Amino acid sequence: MNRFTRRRVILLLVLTSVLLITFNNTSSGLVGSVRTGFGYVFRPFKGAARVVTRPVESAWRGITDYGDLRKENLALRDQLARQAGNAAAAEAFVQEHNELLKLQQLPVAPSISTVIAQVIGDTPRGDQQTVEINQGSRRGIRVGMPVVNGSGLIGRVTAVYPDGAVVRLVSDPQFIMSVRVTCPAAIPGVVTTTTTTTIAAPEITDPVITDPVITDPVTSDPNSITTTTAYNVFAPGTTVPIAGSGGTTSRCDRETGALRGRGRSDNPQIGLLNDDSLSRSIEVGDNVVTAGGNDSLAPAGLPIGKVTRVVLRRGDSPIVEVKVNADLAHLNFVQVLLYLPVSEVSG
Amino acid sequence: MLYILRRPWFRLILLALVLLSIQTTLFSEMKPFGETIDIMLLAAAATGIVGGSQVGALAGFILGIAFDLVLVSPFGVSPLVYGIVGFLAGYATGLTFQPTWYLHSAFVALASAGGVFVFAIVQYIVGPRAPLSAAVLQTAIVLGIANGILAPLAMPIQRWCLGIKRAVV
Repeated sequence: MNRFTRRRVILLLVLTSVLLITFNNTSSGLVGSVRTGFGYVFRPFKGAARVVTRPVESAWRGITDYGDLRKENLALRDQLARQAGNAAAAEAFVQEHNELLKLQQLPVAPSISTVIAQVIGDTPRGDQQTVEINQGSRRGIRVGMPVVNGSGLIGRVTAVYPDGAVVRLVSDPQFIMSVRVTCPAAIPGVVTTTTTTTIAAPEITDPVITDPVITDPVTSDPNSITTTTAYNVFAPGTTVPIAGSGGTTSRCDRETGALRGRGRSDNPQIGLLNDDSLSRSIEVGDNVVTAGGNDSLAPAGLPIGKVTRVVLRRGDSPIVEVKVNADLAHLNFVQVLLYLPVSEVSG
Repeated sequence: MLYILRRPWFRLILLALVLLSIQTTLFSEMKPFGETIDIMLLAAAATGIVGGSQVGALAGFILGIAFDLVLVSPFGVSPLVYGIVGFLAGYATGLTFQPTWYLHSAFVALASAGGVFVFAIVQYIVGPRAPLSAAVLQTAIVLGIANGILAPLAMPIQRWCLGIKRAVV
């Protein structure tokens, strides 16, 4: 140690760090394995610390949050009353939708099993937007599965342990997901799409999950009926219907892109939208839902948020800013959708 | 066995585990002004103050490795930044003649705030492209003040951990 000068040690540390960063970018498998291994070792320490520090944490919350909690409690009671009505309406819509599909001998939207989990830990450092939940691989949770709460998608599972998992939130700079911009919902909290179903559609025996096919309304067949389908992915029950299977969608659903998180203080943005001259203009207030797809880790139609700003760029696709529906700073109970990409299921 | 426990760097690793446990439980929930206090950064800066720039850089590196093992952000960023913070804190202390405790706290505060900016820059270069916004300034101010307040508590712990005797004035 003594033969090293201070400069050499510093240089060595910087080079080692750069090497680690490079190694992380080129061989994430090894780094991931080391992190998982350390996670197993570290969990008892963390569990003990959680028990020991709980009184301090409770005292802190008592001091800082008391006033807000009273106000929030009253607001939540009102919200709960409204949501009960919305949920009942949404459930009726889902039932109606499935009955119509049955009538047309089309595959009924399959359901996804969910696991309800509680958020037990917040992000350990400000630059990372994650939460820890109390359910893990023992309940069937796997890396990549989407996580929702009553307001919509909140993130995706990024690390799993037997009795816990880490969820990367939509606001995390490393979060990316293909999304679709749709028309505003007619009922608050319920995603609504206009679906055109061809009467002469061939009978499909096996239920399949497909992306909606986009059609031009100008060339629409007169032998088709147009129905409005509303679905609430968080209706009471333990399963979540996959929206959008069977049928085609209107132009309202054309705009697709990649949603990226931008940290705690900035709203996520959608980039790489189709630069299509036929596409309608995106407006503030439009809904943003997951796009789905064969390789997508989330089913189509999960609500994420609303468009708050559209930045048009000359000669380039616009950038769309999205306000996430869910209050990511105050998460409690969440649902992990035990969803596997279609390609993985069929493969 | 006892011999191993007396080894400063072994004690630092154990301390890193304890601090990491507290960071990921208590301090991930306690958020003054919505900002997460980073006691790993505090420990790196405090080590630099009590042990000098070289020891500070090495301790920061170890603390950063420990933290990166529980995060899901790019691996290697924290050791780099914490190492720089430990070095800067030690370097600043080395420039002053008989610094007082409040000057130590100020150095820890400045090094911590500087660390936030370094983090933002390094992550912008190597990691996910989070925007460099005014929020970074707010984080730096809150974290700097919080770590400055906690510094008088952290420095004796780091002194004990690394077996450093307090300089007699």
